[in-house]
Amino acid sequence: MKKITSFILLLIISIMWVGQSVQASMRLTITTRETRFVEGVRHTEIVGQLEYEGVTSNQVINYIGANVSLYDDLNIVVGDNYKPHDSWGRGTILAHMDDIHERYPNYQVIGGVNGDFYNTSITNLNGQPQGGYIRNFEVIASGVVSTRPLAGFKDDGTTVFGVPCYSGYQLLVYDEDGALKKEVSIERINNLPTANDKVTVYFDNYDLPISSAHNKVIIDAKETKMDGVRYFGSGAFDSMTEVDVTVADHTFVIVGTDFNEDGLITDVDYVVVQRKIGCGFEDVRFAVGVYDEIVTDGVPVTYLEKGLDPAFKHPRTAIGLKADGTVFFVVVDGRNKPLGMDGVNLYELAQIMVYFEAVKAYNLDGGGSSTMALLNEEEGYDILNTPSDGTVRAVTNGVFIVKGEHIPRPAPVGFPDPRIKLDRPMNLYVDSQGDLRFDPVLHSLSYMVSVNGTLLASDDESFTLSLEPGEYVIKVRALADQLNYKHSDFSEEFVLIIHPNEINRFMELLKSFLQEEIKD
Amino acid sequence: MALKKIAYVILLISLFVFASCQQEEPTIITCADDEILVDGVCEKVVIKTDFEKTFDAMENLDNYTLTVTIQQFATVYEIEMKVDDDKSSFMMDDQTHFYQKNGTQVDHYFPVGEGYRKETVNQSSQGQSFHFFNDLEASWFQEVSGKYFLQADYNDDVALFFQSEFPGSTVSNLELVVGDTHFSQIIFNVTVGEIMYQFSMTITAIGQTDVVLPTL
Repeated sequence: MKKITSFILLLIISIMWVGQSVQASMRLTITTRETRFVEGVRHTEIVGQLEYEGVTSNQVINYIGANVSLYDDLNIVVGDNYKPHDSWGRGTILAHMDDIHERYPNYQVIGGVNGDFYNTSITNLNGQPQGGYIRNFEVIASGVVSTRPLAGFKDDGTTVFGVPCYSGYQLLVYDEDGALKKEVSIERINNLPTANDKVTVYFDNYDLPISSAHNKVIIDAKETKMDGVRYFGSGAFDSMTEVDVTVADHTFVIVGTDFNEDGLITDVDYVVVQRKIGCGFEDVRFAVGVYDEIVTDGVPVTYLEKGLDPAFKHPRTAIGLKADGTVFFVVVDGRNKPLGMDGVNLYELAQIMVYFEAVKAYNLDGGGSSTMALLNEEEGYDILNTPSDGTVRAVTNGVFIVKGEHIPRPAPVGFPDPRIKLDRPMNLYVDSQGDLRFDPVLHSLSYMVSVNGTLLASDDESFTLSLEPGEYVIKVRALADQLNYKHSDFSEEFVLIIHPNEINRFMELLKSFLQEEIKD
Repeated sequence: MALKKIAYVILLISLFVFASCQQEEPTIITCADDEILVDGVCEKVVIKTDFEKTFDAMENLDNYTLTVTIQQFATVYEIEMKVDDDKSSFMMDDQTHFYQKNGTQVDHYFPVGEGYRKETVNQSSQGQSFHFFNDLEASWFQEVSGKYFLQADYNDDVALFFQSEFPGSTVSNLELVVGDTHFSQIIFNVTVGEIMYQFSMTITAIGQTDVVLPTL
């Protein structure tokens, strides 16, 4: 009995000891703690003292997070201000938010932080992220350092952390609806194919003529990224030739024997040339490069061999994942002791991430780059922390919590496309009630109405227009099941001029007068 | 003797008959200076000025083109309306609607895609209280330096045209420009609330307007 009692006592003491060893390594004495919610995103600011391994420091810690696995309309996206061609470029996270809003009308940024580390050289590589970068399924950057991990975000709300793997280049051909027609393996870059069944791509950093009898499909590039080793390009069909060509600026050329004789790439298609990514990142819509893994399975790291000054106190930014699927960001201010912002080393940062219940966490770029912003009541954005530069730094990219659902990615359709394309809607007009009307299209499920480029859904052939005075270009396409039938092309454009209400009423008076003027 | 009596009686009767057939002297009717004899009756002569004659000419006008501009601040809206007997057209923003009288109804041709469709509608029952230039009267105008302005007392009469859509609206500064035979332009302001719209109605192609209905 005595033995059993002693054993239980020993067990209790050992459990308490282990528990203390984890908890005792950091103590956070909170002076103030404020929490609020903005559009489902939690923001917590803690001001207090952090004690870690016998060292006490003053800290201001900001946290924002949301459960993106639970709510379809809360998602994580990345943003940047990269130039389309010739160089990379940087921007503040506020500018990145603008970029997101411009690219994706379906998202409203609620808040976010700075992203990856980046190239600061005074060359056209300034701003190039050190890790990979995936924007809306496009592998824009594949990592200067191939071992750099990524934080990736899938449409189902899952978050993927890890080191991606790359296996050569791929040419992806999408139809006008964004459905994948075909994936073609790219043998190599800026070189001729070695066999008749091989395809290569030349980018505009290749100055010599491409001298061969191969087919050459010239792509008018929407975006190109290259550093001489890694390449990315996207764009639309420009022309095809067999004669020798020199790659013009902001184009790239796909080369292959008889390539595109089958009409694979048409002038309505969109093509992407990128490194083929794998190891769990195949279906990732957005991804940003991260650096050190500072929390693994809920355990904070206590020693790092690499990393940027892991043992020194700096402003820091980190991304974490909770067991319930919540993704959160933390920014700890630093380099500002007079304001009680001592900064943290990576081990302290890891402790803080565990404090916020991270089961997995990585640090992002820090120092003067550390910035966190959140939507305010005036629909603008507040910088929540105190950037150590005294101003918001232009950085390579950022990672953000947005409100708004993803636009579903169409299923691959294959090539040749066996589906029947629906007829275009015809005979558009606006009736006396101001409703847009058009002839029904056989086999259509619904319709897409484009009003000055803004796409709207219509269940049938009558669509209520609620427009302010102005001039509008309207067109309509019939939507199909995309299995047996595919969406139609857009109809002919219909120009609608909406006058102020008083002018409309004057017109009605005059029409009424006119009707009364005609005689038998 | 009896024959002599009979002869006297016959002579007497004949004289009586002749006397009764004799014509009366014609009566001479003399009219006053500002009168004219019409069917033996003197009637007052109405001598109309050229200005007044244009109002007569506007009555029963059934073929003309009316160009209406409505200006609000710097924005000008232009409408071209054509009337060709039983057909009319209304064009604004490069879109033309056509109307054709069809008994008590009106066939309305409206643009659809590249072509037209037809619907039959009841003829407008707006029934404006004021039928615009058909209802203007010459006596309402005052000539100032060769220009004809609607006297302020009659602004409300013209404003009736707008009351169905804009109750309480007012009309002001109506100027009538006349050509050789017809009105050529009507210019006026309509005030709705605090906003003033400047109207200009120009009448052209009288008797020369051709409305061709679209083929369906």
